[in-house]
Amino acid sequence: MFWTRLKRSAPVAVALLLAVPAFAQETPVPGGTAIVVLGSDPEHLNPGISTSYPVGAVGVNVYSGLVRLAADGRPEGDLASGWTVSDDNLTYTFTLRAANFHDGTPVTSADVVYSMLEVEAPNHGRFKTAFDRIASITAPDAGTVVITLKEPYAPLLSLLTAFDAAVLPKHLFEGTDPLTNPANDAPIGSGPFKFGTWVRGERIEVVRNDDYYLEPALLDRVIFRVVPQDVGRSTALEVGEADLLWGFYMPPVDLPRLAADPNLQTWTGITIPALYFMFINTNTPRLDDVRVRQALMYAIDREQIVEQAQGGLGQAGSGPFGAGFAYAYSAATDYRTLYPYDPDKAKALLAEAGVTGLKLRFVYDSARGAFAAAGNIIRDQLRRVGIEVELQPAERAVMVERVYGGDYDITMQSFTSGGDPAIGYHRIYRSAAPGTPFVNASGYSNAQVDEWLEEAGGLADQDARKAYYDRADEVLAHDVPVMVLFDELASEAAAGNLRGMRTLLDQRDGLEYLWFAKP
Amino acid sequence: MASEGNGGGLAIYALRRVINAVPLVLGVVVVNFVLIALAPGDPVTSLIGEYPAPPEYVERVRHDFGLDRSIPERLILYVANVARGDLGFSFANRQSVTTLLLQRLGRTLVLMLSTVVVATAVGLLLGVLSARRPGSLTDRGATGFALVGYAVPEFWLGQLLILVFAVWLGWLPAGGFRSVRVEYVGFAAALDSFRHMLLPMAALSFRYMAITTRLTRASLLEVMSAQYITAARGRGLSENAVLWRHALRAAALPVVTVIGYNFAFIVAGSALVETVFGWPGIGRLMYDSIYTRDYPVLLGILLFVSVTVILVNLITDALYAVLDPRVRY
Amino acid sequence: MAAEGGADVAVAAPGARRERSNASAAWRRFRRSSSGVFGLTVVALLAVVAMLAPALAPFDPHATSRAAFATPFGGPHILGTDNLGRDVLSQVIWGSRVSLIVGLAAAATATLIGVVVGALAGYFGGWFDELLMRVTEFFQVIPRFVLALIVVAFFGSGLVNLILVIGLLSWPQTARLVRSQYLSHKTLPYVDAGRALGMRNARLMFLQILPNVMGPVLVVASLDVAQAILLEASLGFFGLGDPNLTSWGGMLNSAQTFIRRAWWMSVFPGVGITLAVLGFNLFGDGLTEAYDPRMAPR
Repeated sequence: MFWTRLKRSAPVAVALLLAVPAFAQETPVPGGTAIVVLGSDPEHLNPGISTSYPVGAVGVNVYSGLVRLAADGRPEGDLASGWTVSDDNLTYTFTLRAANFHDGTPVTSADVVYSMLEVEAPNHGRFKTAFDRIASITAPDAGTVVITLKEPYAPLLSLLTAFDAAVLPKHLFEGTDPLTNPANDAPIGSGPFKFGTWVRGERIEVVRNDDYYLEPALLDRVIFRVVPQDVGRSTALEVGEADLLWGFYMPPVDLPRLAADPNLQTWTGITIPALYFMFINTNTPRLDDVRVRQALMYAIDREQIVEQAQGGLGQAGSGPFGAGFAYAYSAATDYRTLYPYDPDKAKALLAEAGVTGLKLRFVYDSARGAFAAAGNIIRDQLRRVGIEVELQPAERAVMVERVYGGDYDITMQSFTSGGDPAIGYHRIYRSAAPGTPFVNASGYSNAQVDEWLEEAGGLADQDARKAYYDRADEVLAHDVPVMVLFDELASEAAAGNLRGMRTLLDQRDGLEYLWFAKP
Repeated sequence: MASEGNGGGLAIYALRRVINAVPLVLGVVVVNFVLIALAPGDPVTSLIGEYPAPPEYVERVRHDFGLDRSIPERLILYVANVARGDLGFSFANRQSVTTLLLQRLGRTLVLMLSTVVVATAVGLLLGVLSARRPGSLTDRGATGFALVGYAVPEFWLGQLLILVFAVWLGWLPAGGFRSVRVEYVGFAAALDSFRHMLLPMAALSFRYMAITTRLTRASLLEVMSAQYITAARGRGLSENAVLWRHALRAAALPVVTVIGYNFAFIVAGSALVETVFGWPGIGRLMYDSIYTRDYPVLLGILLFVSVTVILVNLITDALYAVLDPRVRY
Repeated sequence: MAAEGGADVAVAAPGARRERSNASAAWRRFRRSSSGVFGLTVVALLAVVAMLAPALAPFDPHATSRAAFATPFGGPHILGTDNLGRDVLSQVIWGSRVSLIVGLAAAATATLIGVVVGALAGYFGGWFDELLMRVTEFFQVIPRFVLALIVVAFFGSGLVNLILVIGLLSWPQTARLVRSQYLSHKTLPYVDAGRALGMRNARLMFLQILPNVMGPVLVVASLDVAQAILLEASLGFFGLGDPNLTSWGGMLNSAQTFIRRAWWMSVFPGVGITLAVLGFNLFGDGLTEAYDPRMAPR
């Protein structure tokens, strides 16, 4: 059984579990239907035009990408049986397997090129970051795709999965507007599952694709069940109306109860690192003073935030890039040693900076319960050092406008790394033009740090990257334009007899490996 | 009891009321639209996921949904569309709003109608029981129940019901519309739906049970002392006959009107209860749409509910006019 | 039109004699109403708790601590603590402030608007009356909760906003009532007498007629408070309350996620809301018996 020991205060070991079940004597049994919980109805089912979580959940099992990421993060072939990289690290040549779309049409390199150039490059935020560095995507023949970069880019392969570069059927999309194409609601992909039905607001059914180019799925069907109320999701699991609940949708407080349930199994660990942090608006008067920002770091007990706002599912901030990537972490800049919880020190720093009666507006997404809870803790703790905080929850759309328009003092956010700090974390610190959403909103701009991050992003060798990250860490840990709160800990709860979860890096991926053990 | 020979009068009354309703509906549409068009926030942001989207993509989405036109333009377009029955296109759900509403409508109606039926039946019964013997234990109990039932917030009640019946006792499902795992058919399906509906219906109906009980009791007591009742008793009719045949008919009138005029509150209550129980109806659609800034859906729901309220008011007015001989039209 | 449940304050047929409510006579009748007295007691208790909150609450309601989910009746936290270690009893005590303030202020707003609109419509009649009645009908038809949800979600959830929104959506009932009262009163002898004495309309409306009409108005106002408290709690439950203040609705919102782990987070604020609403409803019943005994529910 995948028993779980919940580590609350000790540093969490990065658990990169492999797919091999711990009890090798069980052989996978085909058949059955698994019910997976979704917290909201996806807008549509095309992962090529959206980075939203539920869209990816369904989309990645219906569509294929060139590669997929194994449990340890390494890319392995999906639609591509293999690839070669030129010596200068600029040219990647992919060989495609023989595969068909669910309507029988063969998948060719033309589909790959079309999807990337016409659909994903203009519409997909994450793929675009890769595309900006791509010089060309060509299809010399029906079974080969060649991607040529402008300069070396280590994370390229991570951005070629079905999450970011799904292979869409050109014959259904060509000539139409991908945003309104009806195939978005009834997808025809080449993945291990075929689209079945979609009852809006209720559930999405997918059926096994018996012509899958790799091993067909073990299950007959997967039903994605929509449960918007977070309370109801764990309940569904407990009463047997669902089989799998990802941490993304699980209220952290339910985890201990689910873990104690003898009919269920739970798991925690890090899959794709994500960081919870606070932008500090350096354009606000007094917040431009580094001593004030450092005072904020001392004044806030990040352990309490992890324990109460995140239900223990986090590792309190270990540095400017967290602890998710060993090469981006530096022991010298570990926030736990550099900025321990010390309200007196905070008060001293504030006095030194001559700050009294500071009032800060805390803007956050009103739909995120963890942010609201953290906000209450932060407000209480800052009050003890003489800073008054006003909580200003706002709907996502308003929050985005305000934060990225500079109309805030402190704000809480969470960014996923996307599999590589260069994909998801650099944007936190890199100089950014005001008004761009989901990048640096603190107004902090350090050309030297920008340069170091740029260098680190291009290298493939982790030691070489670490050298740059160490330098950046030092400066960022001193300047703290951003208060890193914690690394998110992924979690999962499942029916006791479900097997085969987390065979691939992303929890949503690899549902074809799920099966039910007989009781 | 109904006025005879006034059929023509009733028709004219009804027509007058309907004509009155038209500017009301228009007013609702315009006000809704203005309100929401002026609200801060950009609905496009909710469509593009969590990662910086290319600006051309953002502009395309904006254009596709007509968000780049001026407000007066959009209003005129909207009014014209509504007249045709087209309530717009939902951003987040990628469906026409009308289709979306109609899909969810059935589930909300099932919940609301069964609530009204059960609440009315139980309320009438309790009201009668307490009016029969004013001051008795039954009376006091029913009145107390009515008082508390009217004060309890239905969403809190919903939570408590889940706690008691779904979690601690495990008798009923904690939410949802039907079992997902097993596809029931026929009678089993109906039973399954019924099981899922019990708790939300209970939570929703308490308030109306309470109102109905109180009102029935009050009306009955008032009527019971009226002249023609005394006369009926004098003619030797049994107490029960007096009660059921004469008094109840007179008392039914205020009850009907209360249910009719409180319809809007049933809608509100259902929004709260649907959210607590994850019941996929219009109430929950509303809740979800607020967070995704789905303007057309919100407008659609507001309009739909307002028109429904107007309709129900009309029907109640008509019923009232037919049933109450004192109303002159 | 029948008011929502509760007291049936329909107008008696025009022409019936209406006794001038004498304040002391009304008070005597009120005192005899058991529900009224009970309601008044609850309301008074609530007011006392709200006013003395700083002194009564054992802890700062915003103070978080590491002692989360403490069960009630155990240690220093009599009603337990919530998910952030905040004392539930203190939160319930302080939460009464928001409920009372919003309830009373919103009802006051609604009553003020309703009285003015109703008086003008009833007294002057004619096209003015028609127009005002149209507006009233419009406000009655709009689903209150749906609109409140939208307005608060869009424009912010500060106290003032809540009060304005709830108040602006609750005045039609009062307006209708006041209007019909004015309609019947303006033909009465004492009004003619006043006119003969040369009193101006404004003075007649608000100094002569209004005091006679206040009885039923107060009843509706009392029920309005109850409704406003419920509405505020509902908005808070949807997460649309002011997060910088402790409110019962907000407490229920947090409680939602932890209902299985900490039932006390849900039970006690819910009891608070129920008691407050009950209190004002009963108080309204008592007022009905005081001012218009024939229409009393008993």
